[in-house]
Amino acid sequence: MDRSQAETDLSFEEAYNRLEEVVRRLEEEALPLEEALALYERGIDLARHCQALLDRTELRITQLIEEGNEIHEEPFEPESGGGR
Amino acid sequence: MPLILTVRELTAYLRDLLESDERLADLWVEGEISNVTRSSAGHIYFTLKEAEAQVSCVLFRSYASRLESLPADGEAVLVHGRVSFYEAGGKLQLYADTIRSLGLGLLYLRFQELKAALEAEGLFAPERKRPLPRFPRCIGVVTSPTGAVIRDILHILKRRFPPVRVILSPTLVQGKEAAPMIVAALERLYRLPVDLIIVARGGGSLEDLWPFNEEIVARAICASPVPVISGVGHETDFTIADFAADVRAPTPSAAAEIAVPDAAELLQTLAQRRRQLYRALRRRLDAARQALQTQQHHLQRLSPRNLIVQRRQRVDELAERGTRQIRYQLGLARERLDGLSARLAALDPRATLRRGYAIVHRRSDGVLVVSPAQVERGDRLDVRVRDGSFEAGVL
Repeated sequence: MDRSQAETDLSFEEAYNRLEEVVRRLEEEALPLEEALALYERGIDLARHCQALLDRTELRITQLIEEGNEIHEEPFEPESGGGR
Repeated sequence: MPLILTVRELTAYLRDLLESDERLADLWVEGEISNVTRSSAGHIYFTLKEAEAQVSCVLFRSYASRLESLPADGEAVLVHGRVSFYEAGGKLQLYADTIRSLGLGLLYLRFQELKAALEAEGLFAPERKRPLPRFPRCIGVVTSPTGAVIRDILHILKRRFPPVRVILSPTLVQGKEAAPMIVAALERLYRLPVDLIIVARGGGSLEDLWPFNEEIVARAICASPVPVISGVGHETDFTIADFAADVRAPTPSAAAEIAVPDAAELLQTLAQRRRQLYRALRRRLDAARQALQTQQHHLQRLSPRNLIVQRRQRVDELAERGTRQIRYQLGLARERLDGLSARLAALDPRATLRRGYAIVHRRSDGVLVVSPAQVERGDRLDVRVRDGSFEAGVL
């Protein structure tokens, strides 16, 4: 596992998968105490990060706009109010 | 010789003739409805016309009750049924079971044809269906940028799984230009790092939904590098796009629900993972504590202080054993002494004297006389008896 990458930058999927791996290792492997402690802290950090992503993230929405042959992304705000 | 038949034989013959033709047993007939009448039994009779031609039709009550709307005079329709000869009425009749207005009817036929063709090609095969990503990072949405559908989809994605990124690839979803636009909107997404695509449109008539029944749309969906969820129309609407997609959702909102996990459930799972982590760590700490205790016990056993205590105890034990041994030896000695004393007492000569014996010594040298050969005439002797001694002489 790459630990050099700051875990707060991880996507939800990566963080969640790592969390599952940490839980599995801590539950199944006979680790030296120091390693177990470090792993525990890391697991808690990962769980916090996942939670923060779920709690605090604002959905990022963009829209593809075609201009001539160019396609670019623009932030998209669905118009409020009814009608389809 | 011409054939002679009774009327009954003729009508029966015509009936057999018509019913033995397979093509007449299952066919669609296009025409205009006229002379609609309804019998008291609920059956519907009408004539299907085209220019100078016409055919009588009957729609029995059981079929009529299944139609959304009853045929009306002047309506251009497609009628499905079988042809036979109505002997009592003496006429050929189309026994209808389904009636579609012509526009819809043709669309429906095209739908069936295209579905069968693409199915035969294997485009809808279950093996082609890909699993959806568990936690999509970026979802492409192909739909109209205005209206309730995109708003509902975004609302649900936001509520269920806010970490996901959404890229809207806008398109018309209705009308003649819609199908190529939908294809272009899909293909734009294929060049972007989306890991899931939702193709959606709100409810509408069969004509409204038609772009999603076009072959180019079906093929574009099948060509997607990532899984596609279709959510077109209402729950009862099935489009070709639905069959081509990896997952068919009954509605656009359902497509959004299927696309992402539910944050509320995930939060629960996360809490559970944290508990698991804590418990695992607790177990590890308990094990460490236990190991430490065991080592402490070992250490205590090996401590020099402990050794001294042990040695002291050993000394005490030895001293105790020494004392016991000495006491025992003394006891033995005492017993032996007592035995000797008794034997000594038995050997005391005085005891013999008391029984009346005498002890004789030679006076000259004190030798105990035990034989006559020891004495000569004239020797002086000392004689000891019980109560004293006296001098005597040998005669």
